[in-house]
Amino acid sequence: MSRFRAPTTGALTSDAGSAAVDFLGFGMPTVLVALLVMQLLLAGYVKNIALDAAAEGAAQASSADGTLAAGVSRANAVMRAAAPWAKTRVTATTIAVAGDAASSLTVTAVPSFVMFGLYEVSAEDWSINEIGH
Amino acid sequence: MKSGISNVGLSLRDDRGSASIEFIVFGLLVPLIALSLGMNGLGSQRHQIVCQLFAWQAVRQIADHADEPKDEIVTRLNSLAIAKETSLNLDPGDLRFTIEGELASGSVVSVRAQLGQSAAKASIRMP
Repeated sequence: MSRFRAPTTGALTSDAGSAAVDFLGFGMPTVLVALLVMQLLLAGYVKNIALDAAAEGAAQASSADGTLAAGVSRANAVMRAAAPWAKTRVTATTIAVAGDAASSLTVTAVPSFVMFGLYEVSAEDWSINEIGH
Repeated sequence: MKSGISNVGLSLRDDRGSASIEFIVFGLLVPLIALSLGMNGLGSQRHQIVCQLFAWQAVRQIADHADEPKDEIVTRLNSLAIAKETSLNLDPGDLRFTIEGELASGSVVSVRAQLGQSAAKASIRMP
């Protein structure tokens, strides 16, 4: 029994081993976790951009001389400027907010390098139409 | 002292250590801290966007309803804030605002919106 050495002690302090196994067991998971974190943050950033674009578009659409088409065009322009690598789809509609008509825009963006382009983010905003709209 | 310095130098050049601890620290803890900080930053950015859009829409509402008494305008803006909180999935009462300036024709009116630590201000000249 005196010759017994706990295997965990050696495993925790020794750096000996195969570099290939080290890469597969440590390097790959580390890279994957880092990529996942980056993708999550990028998706959140694109969602914020989409919200900003929806707000800009809704403001344009709800102005006295504005139209839904003008709002969609404005939202697309914001998305093109801020996230040109994201496929964007903008839909616009008129809704009622507390008895007032409002222009509502929904911006859906698919960032091409988040989850291989399979993940989409969406943001919606509305603006009450100006008098004379 | 000499031996201490040489030990520090030695430990910086020494590659021995636990692969498990290395993985937990650099593979999990560091990315989680980065994710946490990043999400916090994204939340602040979202709050800033919401403040700006609310402040801008609020001053436009004030100008649109310039002929109404101040109480009615405040009620209108409260409704706007509640509707924004609902549509943007915010907690009730999180979005606060203050109106600065006189609601008289020709004067400049500002709305300062605040959400958490973020704040934004928009101004408009009353018609």
